[in-house]
Amino acid sequence: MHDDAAEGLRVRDLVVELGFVTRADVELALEVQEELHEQGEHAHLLDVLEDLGLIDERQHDQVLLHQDMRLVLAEIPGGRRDHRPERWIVAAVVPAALIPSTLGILAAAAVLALGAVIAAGSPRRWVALGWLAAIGVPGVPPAAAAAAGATGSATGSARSRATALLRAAALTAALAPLPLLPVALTPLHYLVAAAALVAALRRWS
Amino acid sequence: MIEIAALDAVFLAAAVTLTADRRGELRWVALVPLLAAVAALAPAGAYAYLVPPVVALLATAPPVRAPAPALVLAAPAYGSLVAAVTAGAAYLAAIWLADGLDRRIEQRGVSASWRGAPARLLVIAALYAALQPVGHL
Repeated sequence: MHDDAAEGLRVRDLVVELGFVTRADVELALEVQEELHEQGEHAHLLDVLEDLGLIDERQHDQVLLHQDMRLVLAEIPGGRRDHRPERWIVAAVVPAALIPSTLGILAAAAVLALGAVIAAGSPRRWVALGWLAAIGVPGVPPAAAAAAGATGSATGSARSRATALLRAAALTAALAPLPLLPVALTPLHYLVAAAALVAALRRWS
Repeated sequence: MIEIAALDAVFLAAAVTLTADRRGELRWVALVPLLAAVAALAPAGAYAYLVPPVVALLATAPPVRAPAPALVLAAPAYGSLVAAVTAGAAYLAAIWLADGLDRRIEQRGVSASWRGAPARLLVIAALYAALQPVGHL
């Protein structure tokens, strides 16, 4: 199976995406799983979640069914879908919400696009890119541009990270004219819009 | 220099955290505002322009797996050490509240496309809206 297809198929992501548990629950289960592993017992994450009472048997089966369905989709040309749109949507929202100038947001979009090629999962490279953007366009906080890149490249294979970052760059650029609106937008607007966009993309795909 | 409001950064950092895979370093992330405030107090003189990127680098210095929330919290200029500590505490509280509210959402009453990340983003947005008056105090 292709590396990219593996993303979105992991049980730890699926079980959260399906709304059965929170990420904190998954972290807890992973810790328990690690403890069991140290004791020589190899337990599946779903079994650990079930033993902890966080999911029931029906949900256990549903996760496996979804995983199988996505494996099939991943093998069909053009059948692969973006299972975690929130990653690049939030990455795009961060600079748009923190930088109140069109030029600054466009600079952040350029950082995201450039970083897709040369920074990917390295936080220090993102900081360096953010700093360069701040020098080129005064008023761009280095940490804000770097944070957007780090968000978009948090997980996944190199190819899926680059894809997420390029999508984030495109969306950031699309959001650049918003500071010109007569109404001042706050992070509240961006968070609600991000939630709606994630839900819409999920429904569409 | 553009001023980023600490309250805005706290809730954006919370939103970023909720989309990250690893959340084991929240205590370190909550200390980043204090780090930024201490760095801002340092007599940097002509090298003041170096302070923001150095703070950003220090924020990612530990081997954190999800550095984005730390970078978001490094962005504002915190007015005082108290404001920085408050921002760190507010960040932890926002994550804790979002997790708690998320768990209480009746999943069967929520459409499948709104479960998980969208619901969590809306919870963060609601907390941000509710705490806006407090942020202006």
